[in-house]
Amino acid sequence: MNILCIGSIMCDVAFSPIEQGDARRGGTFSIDQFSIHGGGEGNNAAIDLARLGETVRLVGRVGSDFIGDHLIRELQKEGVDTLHVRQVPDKGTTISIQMISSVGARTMAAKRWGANETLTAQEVPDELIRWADHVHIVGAMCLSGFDGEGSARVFARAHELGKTTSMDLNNPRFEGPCFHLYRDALENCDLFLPSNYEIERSCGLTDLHEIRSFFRPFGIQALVIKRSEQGIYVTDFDREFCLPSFLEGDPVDVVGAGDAFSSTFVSSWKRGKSLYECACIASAASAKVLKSLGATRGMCDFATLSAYAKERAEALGLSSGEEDAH
Amino acid sequence: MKILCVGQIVVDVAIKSLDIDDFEKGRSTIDSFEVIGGGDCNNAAIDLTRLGEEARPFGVIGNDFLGDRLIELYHENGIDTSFIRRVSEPTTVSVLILGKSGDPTLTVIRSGAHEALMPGDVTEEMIRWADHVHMVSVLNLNKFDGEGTGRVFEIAHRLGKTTSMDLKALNPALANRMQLVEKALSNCDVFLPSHYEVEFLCGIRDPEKAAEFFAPFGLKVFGCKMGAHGVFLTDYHTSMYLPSLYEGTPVDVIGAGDAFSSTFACAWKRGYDLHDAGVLASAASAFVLDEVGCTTGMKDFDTVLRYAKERGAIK
Repeated sequence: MNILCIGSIMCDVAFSPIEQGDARRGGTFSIDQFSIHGGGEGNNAAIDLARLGETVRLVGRVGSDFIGDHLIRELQKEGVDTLHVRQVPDKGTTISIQMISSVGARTMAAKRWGANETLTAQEVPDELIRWADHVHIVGAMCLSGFDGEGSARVFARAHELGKTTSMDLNNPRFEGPCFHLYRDALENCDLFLPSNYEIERSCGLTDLHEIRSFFRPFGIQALVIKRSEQGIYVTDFDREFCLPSFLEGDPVDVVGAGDAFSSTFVSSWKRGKSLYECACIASAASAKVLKSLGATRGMCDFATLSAYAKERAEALGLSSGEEDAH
Repeated sequence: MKILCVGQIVVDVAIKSLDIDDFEKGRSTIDSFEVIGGGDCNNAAIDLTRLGEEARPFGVIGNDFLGDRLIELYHENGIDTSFIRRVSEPTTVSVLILGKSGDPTLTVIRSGAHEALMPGDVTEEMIRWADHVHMVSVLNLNKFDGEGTGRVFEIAHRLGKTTSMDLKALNPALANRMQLVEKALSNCDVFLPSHYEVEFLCGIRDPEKAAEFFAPFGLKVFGCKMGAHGVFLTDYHTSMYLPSLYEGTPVDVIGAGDAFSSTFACAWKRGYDLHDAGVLASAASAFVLDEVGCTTGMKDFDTVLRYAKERGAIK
């Protein structure tokens, strides 16, 4: 399956463990883990999809620096086509710093903004959409040059060319209204995979049935809401169900879990799995990523995730059909 | 002049500007993010190269992205990396987070490859290549301290090379400190610790008493770096105190000691006397103190010499 993935690419610098109290006191500390890898929703989704066995092209921007070079090499090693990952002259690669506590919570997050923020819809010509079977926009609301008109145009064109589409979100870094950043793209969106806090931030809604009613008019085929430790909610606007989180024990690192979920849901759906099966396999992917430091380290191939999903579903006592909504 | 530098090579990650208050906000913006070489051996190799010497570092780094970046940086600086050993352990990383004022907010260290340095790692071939062996980070070289450092200097002297040594006093729990350096000191020509490193090593605070203490080892030069108070130097014929050539508040003190030791060794090998070598080393150190980064301020030999003359410290 050819999947065109559009989203942010940045360098994730993660170190752990640093507890909140220690960080506030300052001084010198020893840590066990330090990683410097590609990150950002676009980067993570592309790697996740490649690990799942899909043929992936990534559209994004990095800096003309050694970090940008490194991220491109990492993506290529994972089998992602990086021809449309552009290195922007005079811009550094966007950096995301994550300090993680011993229980996987973020002690601190910080960014050095750079090339990533220059991505525009011009980067996605018809030729790219034609190549794809499916177009996956990740981290909408944080693609400042692409959100709004850009994402709407790409999805409209994708549908005109007979492609399927999916989108997930990321909370913007500014305060104020933000629904307009993805509203128009929803009209040509098949799978919509936001998290509950992204819905609350952009639409002010928290009740699942109100959310379902709100998004029904857009013609989305499936609305899938990620609810962190509460699991997920899925509806095709006819039926609905919830699944619990598939995580065993405490998370090691929460970064990348949502990307893994969305990518795996898309891959499963394009393989013809039922929504329930998609949800289980995607939850399994998320659980695997939560148990590793780094956004994609825990991600596995499709067969491994399918088997793990079955194992977790049995352990959680889930029926082979769908669970009722709450 | 070919100088073999032996010691720690790590990656320094410098992040600016995050204050403790920013941790409350959860998500903040930083101004810059830099990945540069660090560790005393890295700094010494770069300092000596800037001074015009042919310096080759020996240290242990990981076979990873950060190790690759270190090698790239050395090549950009014209430094031969063929002696550097690469291992499966990750490259040791030191992350320094600076606040908006430039003061350190937090430092985190992920130990790794540098701890894999073993006594037999420095080969006779490497020492034979050199004219001079400059060993740094001594007392923080884990398994290499003691037998390893002693062996390197013994071979160096046997092969007719000269030697210099600098310490690193980081581990307060380190036991048998003098035992770990005795063998190396017996074949050390130039020994240039800082005053707190001398105290860490043998409990002596007074530099002249420290010089007496180390005399039996046959050093040609003993120097005690005293930060803003300058340096004490002796060749066991003449002793002197030289003032610091830096005025005002340093921008960044890290790397200044390395710059001093490297420049002293260089000047000494070029035939400058005790006084002038000390002045040149202080001048180099002053340049490094004036900029952020361990080696950013380091200048070429002629610039250092010109500065020393302009200050009237050297004829």
